[in-house]
Amino acid sequence: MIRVEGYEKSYRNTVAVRGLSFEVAAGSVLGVVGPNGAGKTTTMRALVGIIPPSKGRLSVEGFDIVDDPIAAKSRLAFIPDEPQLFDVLTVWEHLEFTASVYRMAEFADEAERLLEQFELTEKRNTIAQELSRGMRQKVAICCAYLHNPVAIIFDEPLTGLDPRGIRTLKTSIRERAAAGAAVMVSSHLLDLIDDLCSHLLILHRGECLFQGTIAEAKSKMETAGTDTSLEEIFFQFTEPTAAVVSDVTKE
Amino acid sequence: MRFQWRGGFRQLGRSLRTWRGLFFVGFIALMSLYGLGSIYFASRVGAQSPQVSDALNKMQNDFLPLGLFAFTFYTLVFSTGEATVYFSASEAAFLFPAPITRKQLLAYLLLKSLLGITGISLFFGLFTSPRFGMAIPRWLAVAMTLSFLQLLTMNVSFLRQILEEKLSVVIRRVLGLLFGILVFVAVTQTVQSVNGNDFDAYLKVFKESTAGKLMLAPFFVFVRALTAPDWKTFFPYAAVPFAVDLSLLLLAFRLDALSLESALAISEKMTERLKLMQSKGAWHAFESKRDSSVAQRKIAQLPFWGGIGPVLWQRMTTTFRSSSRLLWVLAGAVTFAATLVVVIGRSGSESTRIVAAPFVGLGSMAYMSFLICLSIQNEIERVGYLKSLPIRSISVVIGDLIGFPILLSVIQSTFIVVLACVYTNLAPWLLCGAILTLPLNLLLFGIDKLVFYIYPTRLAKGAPGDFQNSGKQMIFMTLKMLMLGAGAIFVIIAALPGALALQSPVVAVAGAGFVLVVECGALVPLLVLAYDRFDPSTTIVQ
Repeated sequence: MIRVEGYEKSYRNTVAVRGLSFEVAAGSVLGVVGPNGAGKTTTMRALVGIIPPSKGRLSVEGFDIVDDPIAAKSRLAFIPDEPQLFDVLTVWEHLEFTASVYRMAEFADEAERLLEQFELTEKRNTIAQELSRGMRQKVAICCAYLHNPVAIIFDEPLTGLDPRGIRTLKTSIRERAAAGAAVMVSSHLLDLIDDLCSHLLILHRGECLFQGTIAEAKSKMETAGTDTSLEEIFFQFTEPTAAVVSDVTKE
Repeated sequence: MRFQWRGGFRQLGRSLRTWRGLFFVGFIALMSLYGLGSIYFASRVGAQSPQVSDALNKMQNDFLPLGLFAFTFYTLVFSTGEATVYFSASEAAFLFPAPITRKQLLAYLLLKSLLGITGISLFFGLFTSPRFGMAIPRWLAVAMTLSFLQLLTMNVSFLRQILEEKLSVVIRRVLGLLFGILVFVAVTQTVQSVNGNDFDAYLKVFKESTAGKLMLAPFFVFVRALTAPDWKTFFPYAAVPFAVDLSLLLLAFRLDALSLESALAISEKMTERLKLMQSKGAWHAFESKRDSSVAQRKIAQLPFWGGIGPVLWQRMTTTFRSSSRLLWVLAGAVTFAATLVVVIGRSGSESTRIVAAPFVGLGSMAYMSFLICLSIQNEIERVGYLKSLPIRSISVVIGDLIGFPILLSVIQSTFIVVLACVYTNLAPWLLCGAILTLPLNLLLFGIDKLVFYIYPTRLAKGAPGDFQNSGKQMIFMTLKMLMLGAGAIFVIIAALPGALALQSPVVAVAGAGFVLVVECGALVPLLVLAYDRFDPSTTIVQ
């Protein structure tokens, strides 16, 4: 499970995220949405230990990312928007490297299965520099899945993937969540969030505007008598005036 | 052009708005003034002394035509001329789809280049002219020479686009063969005619041989215009370079071969190179694209070693696979150092032979470390990735630091051991010195990494008018030098008693080695602290 309590991140005089608290329970998928600069990536980076929080407590399965980073990081996986691969290592060597970092003695069978699942078997001896953007993304996902993490964090996961890759990724996220992983997905693609997530977190200028299940968000809109699409929910929260204008235009 | 200049001035204005920016810009202005003042002072002092003045003129007469010939040879036979038809990514995005003709684009490109040349020439004209009255002719002469180089390269690039690839290759081979024959004939004539070791005599005969005259004649006019003592002499000599430049300019427009497709490909390639320079360091920009065959070069997985093993394995594998060009440079540096050692060893007095030669060898190796340390920079994107791994910071820092110094130290130590075999009288000193290469390289790379983690800067092209960035880079370079200098002082102090009082290489190296190890050890916690503080989200690579 992922838990964030009173998280705040500030840079000199700018507050990027302000007093954010939320939880992602085992088996659920949280969609994080918000306009550019809302603090989505900053929150994710703090959760995986890339940047330290200015205030608050962020933990994975009870292990604090600041106080006990090794235990916390061993349990999570992060797939950033731009896959960070080593140019001259082959696909298989990336898996080998991941296995050695996470101290997995037996990894070959699981690695083979992941390569098969993401259609990378033929590319196992190809170096990262020769892979397309989509394939690099698939390698990053395979590496992230290899150690069977209990918390998985995706930042714009569909970038560069072809339709087959998108379907495979969506299926794999559902499977991982069903198997008990806590998953966080940040994306601007609201259809993806609607399709995949059980919970929703809307951020705007570093503050949380909504958190709850997607069904709760929709019922809130229904009560208000407006359209219940995720797009409309998003604008109702982030730009209430614009949403009203859009309603008027529709009428 | 208007918007580019406006952007440049805005950038400069922004730099001057903060105290920090003002400091950086002031620093670079001060350093530039110092540089310009030195050149100005040297040229004016030179002008007062007939000997210095004659020597400078002789140098220009001797080497400038050779330099221009070498450049022309390289351009015609090997160069693609890509740099002359380079549009930035934003220029390509805005201008190529716009209703602008190719000739207008070419005019824009040439105007930009001409403005750059005018600025550089003005600097050379004003500051290298022996008399103030001759500054303008010298400025014009330098501008014409630089324009010649630029226009020649551009025309070669256009011709390569027009001609079929096969024909282009044939023409370049024929030209290469012709130039090669000329050089060969001139060198043969020179070697046959001159006896002894007088370099000036070789140069004179080379230039006066029939082949030499044929090769260099077109370039002497540029030199005559550059070294003209008065306006009267300048005009007739300047007429020829002017006519050459004008013809090349007309040819460029006549060819009308600015292919947008090629220019776009060049723009993309250069932009990619620039990005690589910004994210991975200057060295990576010149690496050719590798294919999967490099994966055959394997290094066995290392044990976990508290997390150091996997990081070190990744660094060493990457270095091993991506450093073929670097290995060539290392081989070149070793060859150069060996040649120097041999040349010094064969000439001069006995004391020069036994002391200077090995000293030059060791110095070259130390310089090589420094040069490579500046080129191999840290990969900023990977820091975020490494930070997300379940490995302690100290393990990442050590694993990331030691890979390249180990490789470099092995090469340097081998060279020093060979040196010790040649200079047996200094063998104990050299062999003991070889032991110090690893801690020395670790200290050098450690300081570079530390400064990078605290202030990540890149030797990449900044925006026009961004003097703040240039000042910052200069300051960090000075900071690294100071840190290294301070470290070196303690090492020398520790080595002195052993070296001077006891005349014992073992004691001297033990003292120096101890201090080096302590310094490297002290660097590690600082590196860990800086690595932990490093925040990729706020780091804007410059």
